[in-house]
Amino acid sequence: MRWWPVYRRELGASLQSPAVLIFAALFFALLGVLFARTMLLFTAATQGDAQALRALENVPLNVNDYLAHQFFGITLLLLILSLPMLTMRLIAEERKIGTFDLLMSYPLREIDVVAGKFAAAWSLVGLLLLLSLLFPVLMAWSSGGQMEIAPIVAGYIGLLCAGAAFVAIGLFASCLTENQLVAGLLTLGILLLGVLLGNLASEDSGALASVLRSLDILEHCDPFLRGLVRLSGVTHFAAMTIGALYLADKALTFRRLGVIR
Amino acid sequence: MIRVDNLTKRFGRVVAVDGISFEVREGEVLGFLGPNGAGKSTTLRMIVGLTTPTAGCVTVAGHDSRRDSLAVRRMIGHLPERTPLYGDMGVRSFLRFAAEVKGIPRADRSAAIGQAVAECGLEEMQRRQIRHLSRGYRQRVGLAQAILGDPRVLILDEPTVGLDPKQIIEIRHLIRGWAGCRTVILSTHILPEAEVTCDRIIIISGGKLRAEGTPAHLAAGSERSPALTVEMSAPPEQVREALCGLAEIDSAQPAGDTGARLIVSGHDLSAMRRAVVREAASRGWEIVHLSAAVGGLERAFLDAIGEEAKR
Repeated sequence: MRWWPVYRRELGASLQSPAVLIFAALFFALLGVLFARTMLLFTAATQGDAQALRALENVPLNVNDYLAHQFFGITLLLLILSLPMLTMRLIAEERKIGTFDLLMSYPLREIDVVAGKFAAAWSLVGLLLLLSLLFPVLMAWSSGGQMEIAPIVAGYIGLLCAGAAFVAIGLFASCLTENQLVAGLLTLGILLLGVLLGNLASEDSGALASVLRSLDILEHCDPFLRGLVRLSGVTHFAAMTIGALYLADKALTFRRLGVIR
Repeated sequence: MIRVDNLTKRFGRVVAVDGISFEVREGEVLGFLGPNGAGKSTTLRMIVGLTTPTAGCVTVAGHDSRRDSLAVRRMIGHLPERTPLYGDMGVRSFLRFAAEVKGIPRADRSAAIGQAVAECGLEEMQRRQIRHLSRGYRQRVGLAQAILGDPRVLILDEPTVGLDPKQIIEIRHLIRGWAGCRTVILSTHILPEAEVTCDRIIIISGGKLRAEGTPAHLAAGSERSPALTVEMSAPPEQVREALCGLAEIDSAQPAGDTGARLIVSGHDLSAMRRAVVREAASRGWEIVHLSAAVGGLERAFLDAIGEEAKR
């Protein structure tokens, strides 16, 4: 249980950090603006506005099928774009200022540090998502109680699972370099690749395409965002998380052993 | 207690540490002396287990620092180079964190932290944020986290760098006070520091061990020609002329930049001393200062490094 103090320290430091507070503020500002657009369009369409109806042709005009799905889609995209900024500092910053040496001079295993840091960053994602519950509450209120709870729960489970994988990938990238910017851009690159892979393969039906599709982030997220909890989705993100954490642990261990510099 | 055996570390083509071997006995304060870039920090990092040797091994109380890294780190308190600390934490909460990760049982934590705080003189600063502390106090926090949990071995990487003279003396006293009960390795490039703080000194340069011994032993061994520091109640130039004329004395040079004192060298220290006293008495000068020349260690150091420079 040596990871527990590492977790507590990291989470405490994050919650007091001005950078993290600004990050959260920006996240909600963007989420608010993007969601407001969707909600205004939806409201106009339900009130019979011709232009809005044309824009939402072939779309089910229903709170759960349209509005909630849109909300989760926007949140997922924001997580993909913003989490690299949150995770880039996890290890890289400590290596840069030297506190990583201090940390590793204590009787801690690399995996304790990795686990503690991961849990802290994931908790932060959880906290962010908890605060974002405000939006579904608004949706439920504006729809006059027509909204179902279960699909919302499913959407949040999906976001939490995907968030775990994103954080783990970001943590791994942060183990590779002392340069935070490099770590952040590397994470962003990996995540965007994960989003774009599916598009690359969408036309094709060969074996390669099915492999690419199986790595596609959106493909695995979509059922959740539509209100379906799929075991395959959960295991996919769990496997990604565990894989990335394993690589992070190995990156730190190999660095100590001098296999990599 | 600590045994370093043929320790080597290469970074690519650069050999940072080149086959160093030495031992540290229990309760001994060992000074690790060398110019900047000599391989001091790399050696200390290998002893703690922060980096793995390319060849050779380190054992601490019988545990191999590579295979049994956790056991070694449980015995060691370490102050890394440049004293990195979590600036965003308070002193007390940082020490609590250190106590937790060191695995000090919950019941003993408060007492252990209290002891470390008292020993390092941090009582007044416990509630302060670390980033608001002066350099001297930051250094003490670094020492406090190292001694937390009463480790048998302390590895301190340049514990007094950047401190003012008063702070340096305080930290030296602190370290000196641990002699006998804790095994300490401290690295420094400040010679007087090693001289007053350490039981034994190792000089490394260019990654190689150049000299080893007690400060006195090293200083004495280096004196190819023994020297005296002399000051008299007469103009230094006159004194110099007079002393140079004596059979026992080979040379007399002004010491330092004040010019009042002279470094006098010859073959036999006590014969030189008698000659100086005799000369002073015969000319009616008063001896203001007369001592065996200090800086013997400095010479040893320069000799040791010089061997590398010649290569």
